[in-house]
Amino acid sequence: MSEDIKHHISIYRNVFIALLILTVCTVCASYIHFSYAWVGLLVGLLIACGKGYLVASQFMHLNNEKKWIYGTLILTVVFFFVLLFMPLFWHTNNIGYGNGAYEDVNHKTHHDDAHHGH
Amino acid sequence: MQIPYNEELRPDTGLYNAKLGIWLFLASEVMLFGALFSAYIMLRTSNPYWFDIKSILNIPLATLNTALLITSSVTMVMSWVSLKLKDLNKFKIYLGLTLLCSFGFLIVKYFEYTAKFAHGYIPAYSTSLACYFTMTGLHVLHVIGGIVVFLYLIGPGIKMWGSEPERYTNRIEVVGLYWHFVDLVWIFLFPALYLL
Repeated sequence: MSEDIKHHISIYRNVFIALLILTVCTVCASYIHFSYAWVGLLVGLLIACGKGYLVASQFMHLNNEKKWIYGTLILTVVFFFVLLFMPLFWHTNNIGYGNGAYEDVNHKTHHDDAHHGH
Repeated sequence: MQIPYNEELRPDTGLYNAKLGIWLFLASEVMLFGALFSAYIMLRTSNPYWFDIKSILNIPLATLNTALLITSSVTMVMSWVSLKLKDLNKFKIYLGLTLLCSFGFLIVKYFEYTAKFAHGYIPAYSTSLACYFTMTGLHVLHVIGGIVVFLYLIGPGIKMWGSEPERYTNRIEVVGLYWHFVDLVWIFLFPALYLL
């Protein structure tokens, strides 16, 4: 057990050095002028993902965890992406339309506006 | 009354209760910060008159803060390793260093915030500054929460090491997971707010 832990200490040290190097890379990347802004954004986020992976896999021991934790995290990631992309698809939303709910609101709003206008 | 599965693993999950509990809590935290990141991306991409705060933010100070949080993550995991190796003195040193780094983070943040306020850069100044203060402010609250737990565990809470060492080690592992998450959030906040 203790031998196994001692082996991990050298891994933690290497991860620490890697994280510091990647931090310097992030700062340097921000000073590079990319021809497209999204390239800079992509590079910055890719480095952040690399750092995040190191912290999660080594410090949080996610490279060797129980299936309940993986299950919880998979669900979280799915809902996180739903949350992230939900506003982007807002213009496609038609839930509630056609049953009178939104039409009533619009009608009421126009009516109120007209009333206040007069 | 003895609460079960404080130390021994549950046969169905293979985990002790606090570990499953902290992961469920962290899952909710991912959604909380995820909502803020989502709002930030939407506001930034949809606003043609976005006030670029990169020019008014102090990147060297933020880089120092990143280094402090990364260092604190390493010292945190080393404090847990020390307890696994039954070395309480080393544990105290590593947890003390974690506390020092987290206080350092707060001090740097204090200087950053006061410099902004002195120039009139308050949240009401622009949407970008409102995003900056909301996201970093919530992160600072998490750092303060971590400090409170560290102070308890290195102060009155350390008595448990004498009576239930395994349970105390588990507590350190759980607070460590929380602290690594706080570090993880900053890893994404730093480029998103300061550099991009």
